Amino acid sequence: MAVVIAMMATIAGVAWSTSAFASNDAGHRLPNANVTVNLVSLTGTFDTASSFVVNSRLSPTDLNPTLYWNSSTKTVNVYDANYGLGWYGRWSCTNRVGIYCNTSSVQFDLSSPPGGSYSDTEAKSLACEELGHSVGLDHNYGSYTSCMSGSWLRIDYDYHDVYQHINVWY
Amino acid sequence: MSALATNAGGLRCRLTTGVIATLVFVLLGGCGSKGLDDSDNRVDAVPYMIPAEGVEARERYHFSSLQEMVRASELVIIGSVAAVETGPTLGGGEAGPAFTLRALTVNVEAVLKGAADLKSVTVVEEGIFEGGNEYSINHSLWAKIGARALFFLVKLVAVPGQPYGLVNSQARFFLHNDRVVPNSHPDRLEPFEQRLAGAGVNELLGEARNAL
Repeated sequence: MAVVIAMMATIAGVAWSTSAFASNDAGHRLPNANVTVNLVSLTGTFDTASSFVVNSRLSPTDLNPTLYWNSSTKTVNVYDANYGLGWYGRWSCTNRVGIYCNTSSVQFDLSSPPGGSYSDTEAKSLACEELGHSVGLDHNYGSYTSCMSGSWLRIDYDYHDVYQHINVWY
Repeated sequence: MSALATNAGGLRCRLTTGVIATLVFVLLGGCGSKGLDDSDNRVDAVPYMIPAEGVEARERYHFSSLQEMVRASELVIIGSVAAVETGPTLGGGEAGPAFTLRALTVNVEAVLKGAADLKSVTVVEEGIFEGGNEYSINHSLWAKIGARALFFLVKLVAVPGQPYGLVNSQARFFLHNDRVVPNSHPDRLEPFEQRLAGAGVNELLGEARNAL
């Protein structure tokens, strides 16, 4: 019995590692390259930061992003508010079909920014990471250049993010 | 080396870590399958589970040691989950999809840091989206009734009722069958969590007390 459990655990471990969390592939992605990003009543800081990421970071890839403001539900819907739960930003899939996430939400917390307020770079870094999740990227903690590392100083996707993930998927 | 290092070396590390941690996780209890419903009002053999959805978040803290976790906590307790109820609902409208917190009633067995006379405390954790999708932050575990754990807590002053919450998604260690089960997903353990996974309860408590 113990051997069977160990074998199952091993298989499960490999499956988790190779599907959901391998490299910086989060195990989900958009159904196609047409990503519509809806900015919902954002404060100026995150409106600017999210627009920057869509126009200057996602557009140059093989994705085909379009920005909307206060529209009906789009592929990715972006909000900010005082949530106060210990995270600065998060991404969640709201309509998943298999490995595809048809619609998702990005939420930025305004309740306690690092250092009292988000600098432009910090807001862009956070928007870069959360919008990166929305197109299928996982965290990339080992990178010195990617915003998916969680560094407040990084506002780019690195070569690995773009050429080994985004442009392969889309 | 960080357990979350990237590229080929990181992947090998993750594969190895995932296999070992998953083996420990499964042998100590494994995954559950249900959320906040009638089944939460009974004691389960495995008092923790991974909900279906993992929400990716940049958290205020990401710890690489128990000392850092203790330092960031207002309250560190050993306790057991006596009840799981519906907590406050947040979000909605211009704040995005509404979600409801789980409110755990934790009977306090010992206080390592904070108010020493505490007998019981409400601890909230995320969560359930409107429509019923159950999720956790960064694929961490949910506690169920009967779960005994070491909790690292802060007051959530912006949440109605100002309940306690975990300092971050790493900030709980389940004490199950006299062994330690980290709150983080088995594939996302930092080295100190890998070391503690499957360790004896006394080893964890000793380290936590030394970190005070």
